[in-house]
Amino acid sequence: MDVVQHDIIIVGGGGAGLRAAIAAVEADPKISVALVSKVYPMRSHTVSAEGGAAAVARSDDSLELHGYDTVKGSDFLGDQDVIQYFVEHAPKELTRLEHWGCPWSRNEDGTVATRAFGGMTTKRTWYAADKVGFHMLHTLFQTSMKYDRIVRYDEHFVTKLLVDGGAVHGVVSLDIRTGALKTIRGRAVVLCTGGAGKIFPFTTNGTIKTGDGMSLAYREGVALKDMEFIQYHPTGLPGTGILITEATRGEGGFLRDKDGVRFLVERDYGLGKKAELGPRDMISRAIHQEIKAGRGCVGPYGEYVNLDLTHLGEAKINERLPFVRLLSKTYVGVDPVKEPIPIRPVVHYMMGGIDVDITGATKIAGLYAAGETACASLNGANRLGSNSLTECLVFGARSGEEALRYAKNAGSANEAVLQEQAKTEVARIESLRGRKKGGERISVIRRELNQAMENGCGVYREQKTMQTAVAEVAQLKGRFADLGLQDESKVFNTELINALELGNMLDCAEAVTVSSASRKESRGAHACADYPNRDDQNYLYHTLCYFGAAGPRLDKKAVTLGKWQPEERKY
Amino acid sequence: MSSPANPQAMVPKAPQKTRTAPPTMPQGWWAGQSRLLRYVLFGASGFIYFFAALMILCLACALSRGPEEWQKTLECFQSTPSRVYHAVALIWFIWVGLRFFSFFGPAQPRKIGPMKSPPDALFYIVFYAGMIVVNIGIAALLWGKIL
Amino acid sequence: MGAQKKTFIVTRFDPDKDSVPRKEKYEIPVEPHWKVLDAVNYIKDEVDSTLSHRCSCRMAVCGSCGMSVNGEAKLTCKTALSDYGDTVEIAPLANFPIVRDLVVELEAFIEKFQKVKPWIIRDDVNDIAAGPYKQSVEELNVIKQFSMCINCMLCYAACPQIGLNPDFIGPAALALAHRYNEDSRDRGADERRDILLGVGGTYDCTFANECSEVCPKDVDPAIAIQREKFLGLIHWARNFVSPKKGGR
Repeated sequence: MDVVQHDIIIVGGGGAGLRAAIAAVEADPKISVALVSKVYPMRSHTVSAEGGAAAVARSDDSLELHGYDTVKGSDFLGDQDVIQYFVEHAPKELTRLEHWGCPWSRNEDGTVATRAFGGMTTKRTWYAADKVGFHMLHTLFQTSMKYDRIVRYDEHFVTKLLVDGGAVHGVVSLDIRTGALKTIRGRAVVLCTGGAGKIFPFTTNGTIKTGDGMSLAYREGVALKDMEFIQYHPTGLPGTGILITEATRGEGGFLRDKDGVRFLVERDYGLGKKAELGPRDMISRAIHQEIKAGRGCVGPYGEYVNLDLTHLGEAKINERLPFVRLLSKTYVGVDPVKEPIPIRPVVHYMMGGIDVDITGATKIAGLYAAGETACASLNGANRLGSNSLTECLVFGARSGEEALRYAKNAGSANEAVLQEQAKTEVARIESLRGRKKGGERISVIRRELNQAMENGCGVYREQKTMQTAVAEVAQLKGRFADLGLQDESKVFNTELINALELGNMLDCAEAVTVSSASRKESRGAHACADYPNRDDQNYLYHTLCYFGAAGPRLDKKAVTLGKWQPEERKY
Repeated sequence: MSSPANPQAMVPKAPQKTRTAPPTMPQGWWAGQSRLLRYVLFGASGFIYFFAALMILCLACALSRGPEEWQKTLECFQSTPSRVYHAVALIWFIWVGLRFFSFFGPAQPRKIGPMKSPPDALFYIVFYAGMIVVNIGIAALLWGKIL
Repeated sequence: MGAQKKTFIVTRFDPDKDSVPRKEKYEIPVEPHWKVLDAVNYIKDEVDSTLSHRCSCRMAVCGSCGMSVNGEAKLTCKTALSDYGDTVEIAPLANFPIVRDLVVELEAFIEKFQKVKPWIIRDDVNDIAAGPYKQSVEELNVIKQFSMCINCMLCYAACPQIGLNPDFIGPAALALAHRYNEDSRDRGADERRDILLGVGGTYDCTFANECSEVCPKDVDPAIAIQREKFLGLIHWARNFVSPKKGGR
């Protein structure tokens, strides 16, 4: 088996992963960083983000205000020390990206332009037309090419972390091209593998968002934190779930029911004057209720409401929302200049993830996580739009630097133990490939998983349906063990990859369903029909979910409060 | 069906990790697709220039040999093959010219140092005006109206 | 499921089993709103799980799903299936060596990409505390179009020179070089133009314009390359008249 050696290993080549890699080599140009990604980095799902990245930029704004908006947006579950660090470093990170060539949109005077965004008191969302994730990712990827100390392992799928004595010492990865397994040794590992939206049937996420890093950490005994909080983005296209950015509302778009009524204004959904610029969880719930009350439109792909941009004018749409116009025309055949876009809430982001502290460290020495895959927690129970891209940069950089610091003093490993682990892993993968004898199929289990998650962990949840989902996921995990695979080939075997991804999705789904059922209150994105109120007395804590052979084990972690005490979340 | 491309096309300099099937040219390469056919014809207009250059050399030679030679050469150009060539060349050359004009403007860099490129419309006007003047001039020359 | 059926003739190739690529036929039910990628995914999920292909975002921004559909380079997540008749041919991108089924070798692209130094080159970097550089709306508009490339490589699949000339750096990489050369914050144009005037650079382009015809993002790499030819000429002339210190 091939063994290669590096100082730091970064798993995932998206916004957080690339930023972590660059941070590490800039801090010490002599170290060697392995960037291991199951796709070429420019394919990472960061690329699809549209709206913008938030950081204080204007004189009428302040770090305190950004902090408060984020804390309130998180429904007071966000850790305020993490939020403080985040708002302080956000402007520097976005500036650094600009220095690296990111084509931020500009004001007339040449300064970086900002736009309004949901839940933000003032304009602090930097944007690049409506393709900010694309521009950020490509800027990061192209900048990372400057450093030949960043060694990329493109199209390598990490299947296992090598952990011994409470510390991580490397990873085992499958070279998708050749089908061979490779041990990549390193003194620190940073997981930046994104979220797991694909456990749901209807999501903005691409096919690669399968929670691989979350599962890797989960299987080694690291807790997955706050997994019950799944963000439903209010405006996704019916049928495909393709994202229509919040910037449409930031630039002045309106949400209308089937009679053309601006329901967020005319009816009370707790949003006050903010209306369409309210936080995502509240707007998604409002849309869900409108549809349930029969005021939604009915279309070939289910019910929806309308996002009206017709009053913005063609010039503004072409300048600020050109990609939205293209997506709408290509995927639903609607020109937003002339007609409203049909939209409905769609799974978009996971606030929860690998339990890390403010430095990005997990409880396994040398193992770090950043980006959507991690939960620090910056976003608490609900994330504000445009905080996530900045999160990738701020905590990607922090994790990279911390991983470097750790790696310099890292202890040695028991080589025999690691080799044994690697050997076992190779045997596991080799026996999975082309294993014809199983009776189950990937697409069937995946479809049933999607259905279970949709029923149990939708915009509104009920104890009954959540418990059903817990049982269904457990059953699917059992059936997964009997998976039958047809493709015996070694070269570029995507069936094998899909099987491994399905396993990871089942782990994440388990954590999501079990955590959801345990939280008997409504907070942020977790809205319980049976417990409609927030219960700070009993539930002001982070849910920790640990992997257990007999089923997951739950625990609690205190929320770090700070300047702001929990208050009623009204806008 | 597609023809094979250069076997080294898009083959990396670093050794490939697994065996690959060789690349094939885009389908309809060079003649099967009307767009590519136009591109090939544009390049093939070199033949027109080649014969035109030969003829100009002939004329220059004839000029140096005196009025009889000149008359004889001009009569040569009255022959049928020559007229056919001139007809084809005229059409082909106009087509090449129009195609060239259409992309010359956009192909200019938007600015060179501090100087901004003139608007594309200006290029069109200059080219069309120039083409008309040159065509009239040569027609007059061959017709014997001038020189 | 829809009642309509279509037949797909898909190129298959397994280097361990096949000496040359072969074709396989699949007849599947299709939905009216499907893109070509939906059909490929259906074949993989429900009919033949040994079919390998790349895809991710399904919204025409990640660039993974480029394939040859009825002989033309297309981004399959963006291409409506209803544009095609009852039989559709799906093959890997032309001009690329085939790794497996619909998956092509991308390492050469990465090499060509890296060759043109697609990053901001600048010695005097501003202090972060000083904030972002100023850039006018006009300066941004110069580079906007050429910064839209999603690296889908349809342009490489369509370019005749890529198929004929292995040294040619290619449309996307050259357009990206132009994007950086024209960025008001960059100071590396001279360094890049030395590369672009070298082997496989802009002058290997014969302006077939196929790249711009197939580009799903309207980047128009062809025009970027023609502009670079002109700017390269000026760069060469300037250096010829007054060579830089250290010579060329």
